[in-house]
Amino acid sequence: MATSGFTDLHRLYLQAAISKRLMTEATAQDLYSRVCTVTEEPYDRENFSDFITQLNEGLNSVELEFRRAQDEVTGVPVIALTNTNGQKIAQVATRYSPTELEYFKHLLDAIIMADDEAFCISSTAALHEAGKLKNKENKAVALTKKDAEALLDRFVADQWFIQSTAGAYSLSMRSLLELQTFLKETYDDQIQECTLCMEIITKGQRCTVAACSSRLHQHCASAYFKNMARPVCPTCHSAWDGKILIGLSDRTAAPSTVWKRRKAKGTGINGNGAGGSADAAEEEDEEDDDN
Amino acid sequence: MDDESYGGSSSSQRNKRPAQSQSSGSQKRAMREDDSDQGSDIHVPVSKQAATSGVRGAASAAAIPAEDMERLIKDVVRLAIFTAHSESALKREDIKEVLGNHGRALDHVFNKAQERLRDVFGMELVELTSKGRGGQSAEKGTKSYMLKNILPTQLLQGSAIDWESEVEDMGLLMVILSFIMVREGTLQESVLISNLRRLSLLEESSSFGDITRKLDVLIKKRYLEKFKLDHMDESGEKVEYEYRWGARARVEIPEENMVKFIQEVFGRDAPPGLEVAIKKASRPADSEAPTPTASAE
Repeated sequence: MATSGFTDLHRLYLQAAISKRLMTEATAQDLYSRVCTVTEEPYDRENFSDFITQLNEGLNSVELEFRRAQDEVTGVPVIALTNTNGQKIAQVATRYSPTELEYFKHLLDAIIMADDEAFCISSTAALHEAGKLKNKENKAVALTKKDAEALLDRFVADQWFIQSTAGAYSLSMRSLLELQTFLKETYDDQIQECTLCMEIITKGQRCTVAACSSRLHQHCASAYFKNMARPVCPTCHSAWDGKILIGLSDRTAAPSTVWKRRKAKGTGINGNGAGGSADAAEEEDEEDDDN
Repeated sequence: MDDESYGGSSSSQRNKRPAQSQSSGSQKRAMREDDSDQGSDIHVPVSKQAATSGVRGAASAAAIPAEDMERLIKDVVRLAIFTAHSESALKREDIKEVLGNHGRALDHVFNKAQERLRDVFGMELVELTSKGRGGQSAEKGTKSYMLKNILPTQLLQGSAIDWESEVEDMGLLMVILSFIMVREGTLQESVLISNLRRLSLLEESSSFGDITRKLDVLIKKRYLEKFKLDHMDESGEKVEYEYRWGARARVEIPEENMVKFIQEVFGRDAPPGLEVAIKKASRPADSEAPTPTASAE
């Protein structure tokens, strides 16, 4: 077996990267400089890109890879350690039980198939999905609302989904990077690619012409139209107003879709004595939060 | 209420635990009850099993085409890496599942995956051991594994790497582990709570959030073990529990690091002879150190 040719510099970097899952490129670069310092290797900003290439060569033997992309929302370049063998979700997210994975797939499906290229699911709808779960033998294995709620929090904490202020779930950069292969193979036509960067797009702008296939990330659009006096679609050349959005937007913020999340807060380790009254106080707090 | 504290400048002469002797008998009974909850603590040493199946394993491994073998090794490495930060340990059964119908080659694949984990990530899988009933018996394998960092400690100790939120939780863990350590390896819940309260960690504003939940997570991650005692706490209203170092803490955190940690907390206020005092406090008067070496009983 060929070895990776890695030194402790590489190994230390990988360990830190695994713990972070997804970093902005600036953080990744900063980490490189710090790891160089600790391992007493010379640091040169210019070498960062080569360093990542080296890592990817060594990681090939375990089918992992650093991938770069620009965040769909902020346009900030990010980098994530991802699974190149991503046909199966199970191999990506081994830490979930079969039922939990099933829920994840249901949500993924609902997000991708959302009407009108909304690419998100309201929290009410997300919880509703939890009641439809079935196992391999087609037996119902519905999650309770409470379990589903906790699991949704975990998906967000693990950076698979992001949750809007209105409570709707959409795909995170981690999902987009790690599930790339899976998404493209599974959903094919449903998946949209940015006309400029060719990466999957779930948040951005679309052409005013309904039949036109142009979709642009916000950051791609601003880069592309920057020097155009009158922006036109890169595909059909009709006028581009940038007002037709795809993905999570204000339409999901309608009050009816806002589901009140209960936070498991503050019973504290010593909360045994005053359990009942504390709960009551909590309820009131929530009412206040909503107003 | 117990008034010992490790946050202040007072030192370590006050470490005789009256609770220790009174609980040891009743503890056994309590722990037996607990065993049913800890399903993963199967008391079969894996090393023994591996030794007997080794020859067979090599033979069946030879029958697997190189390409498939490569696939299996990769899968096991990735499984290990992806569970590295999960709350539960990697079970031998999980590995078997990855191997599918090549289960008999497990030992061979496992060894190859270990080589690759060391080469690429500077980590290796270590079997968690169970100390059995409150550390009274010899350690046993549990068929559960966790990743251990094998990079030189001076690389890991440098504050060069920011482990983010983990740092806070690890800080909390280190504090709790040191409380336990200087009390001969066991700490009653009521004492733990009063200590945490003294550090203002139970207040609403504490950045640790819900400490009860944090403790549960640490137990689940096997950094801590919690045993039910059969008597009430000092208030006489709640059942008393006892905390010990968990299997994962024993693997991951060498005693030396712990001593260093406590010294750092004291900083310049460290009284002379602190290190000796810590080590003395960590050993029960009637038995060996609560370190990974098997004790006589």
